[in-house]
Amino acid sequence: MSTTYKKWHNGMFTTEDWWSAWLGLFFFALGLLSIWQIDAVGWIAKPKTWEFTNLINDFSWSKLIKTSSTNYKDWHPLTTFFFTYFVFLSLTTIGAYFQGRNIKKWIFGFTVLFFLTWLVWILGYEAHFSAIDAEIKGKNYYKIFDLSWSLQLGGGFSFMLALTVGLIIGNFFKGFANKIKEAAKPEWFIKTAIVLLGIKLGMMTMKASSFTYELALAGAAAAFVAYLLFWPIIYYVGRRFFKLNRAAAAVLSSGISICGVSASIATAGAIKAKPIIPIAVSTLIVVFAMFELVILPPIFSNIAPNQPIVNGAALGMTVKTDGADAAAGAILDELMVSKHLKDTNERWEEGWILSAAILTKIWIDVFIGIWSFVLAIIWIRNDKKKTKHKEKIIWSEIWFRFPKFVLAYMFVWFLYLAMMYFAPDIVSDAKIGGNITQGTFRKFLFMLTFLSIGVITDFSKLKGMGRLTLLYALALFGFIAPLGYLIAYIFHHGMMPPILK
Amino acid sequence: MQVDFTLSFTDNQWICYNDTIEVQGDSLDEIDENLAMIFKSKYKNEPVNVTMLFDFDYFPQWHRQYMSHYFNRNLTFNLNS
Repeated sequence: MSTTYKKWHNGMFTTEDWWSAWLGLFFFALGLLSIWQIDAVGWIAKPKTWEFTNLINDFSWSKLIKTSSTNYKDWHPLTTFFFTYFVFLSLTTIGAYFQGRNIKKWIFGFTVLFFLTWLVWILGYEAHFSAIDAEIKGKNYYKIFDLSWSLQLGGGFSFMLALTVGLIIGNFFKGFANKIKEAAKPEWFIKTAIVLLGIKLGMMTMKASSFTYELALAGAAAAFVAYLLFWPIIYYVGRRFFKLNRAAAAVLSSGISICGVSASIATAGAIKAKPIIPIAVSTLIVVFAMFELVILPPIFSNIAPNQPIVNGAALGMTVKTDGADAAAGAILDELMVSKHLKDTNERWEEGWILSAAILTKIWIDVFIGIWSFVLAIIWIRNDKKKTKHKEKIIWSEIWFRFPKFVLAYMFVWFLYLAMMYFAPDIVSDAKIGGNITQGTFRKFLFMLTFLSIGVITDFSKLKGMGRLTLLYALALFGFIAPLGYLIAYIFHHGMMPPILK
Repeated sequence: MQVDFTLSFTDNQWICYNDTIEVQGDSLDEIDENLAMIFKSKYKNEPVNVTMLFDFDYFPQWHRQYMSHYFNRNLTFNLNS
């Protein structure tokens, strides 16, 4: 057996990319049933803000977990928890089966990841970590629990804790990490979450349509400019100062300057490099993406606390891989919204900073196929001088390299736009389910991503990478990050998230 | 004449194969030359259109979440030249 792609529909049920679209669209469709007053998503469990001494003095599961809608309020917290587990395990196992995964390993790995994720999620909602001394949706948990101190990190603490736990497992308990790696698929989880983020973008467009369009266009323009600047410079430095061959320099340039692993594989494929090159580069990218994810959100939020959208877009251009970028965007969103609320008592609507990070990255993802195609033409033209046989340009390569989850994300967004323009009467009902799918479902998938991305990141793999590591580090922190920030500033400065009353 | 192949990579060598033909080479150019020699004896002077589909199973499992396709090739071998 081999895995090849010849027809446009090949891979529709066997690749993670497509399964992100299917799973995201399935959850989206479940949420839409609220148009007909059917609550098919409110069963999903969500964590509650709790306080340690309060829980110890009078333990109750209902202090930790609740359903996402009042339609299921009679369910015991453990019922909603195990039902959530069953639904996610079943759906992802179906996907894993079609992708040819080892199902026994998948079920074991996913079960461990699910329970660990929830443990961390609940811990992160302890009031001393999360509660902000301000009123949110009519409640001030800082005052409710009579706290004397709190880190006031909102939901961001859970994200950081999940990442930390994942990294500890991935680097100090490697045997255990190998046992659960079959199900540690951050890209699948995050791409599914991004599809659901299309709902959020749709709702944001309803609220502030011109701003949302502006954000999308600015993201496209910034990504395009970044491509044109980053790639040639990194290629030149790789060739001139690090003496890399053409193929290695091109693959590394795409990996560092565009979108990490997918770009390096796409580029290597386009120029028909030996596949060992993108495999080596990918290892480097995944490890560095972790540094970017950990370091950049706190730096950006502290250096420019009044530039939330610029910060988000800059992450989109700097942090490689969709998973790490979305994770960094989510941390930045939580950190900046919480900090702004704490400092000014003014509450930015959450999700805009994350959307800025995601939109920039999505444009970058979309451009990968086109950029690779351009490179393929250049390489084929160049090779024509040497070879006797006529090689044709294959247009379908653009489609095979196109990220399919983006289609689902756009579909969800445009469907909300269509509702807004053509069926405004159903929008408020659609939002009931939509708020849960883009809220609890998406956040749970983000939590799974954080833990999984930590589990698969093994820092020891940097050993022996030599000059590639040096070039990557120099290019990233000395060039890509500052220039990416400048480009983000040029296209996004002045944009601010809406303020919630 | 249309001939389809699967393309893969092992031990630093490209491998191009179908049910009846298998060639290896350090580079894709070498693969093409090796195929041309076989085609010359098999198809005489008839032009041969070749499709090569890279087998993505070569990539480690964890890479497949980032990208699921490497490349395909379409070539025409004009055996007269």
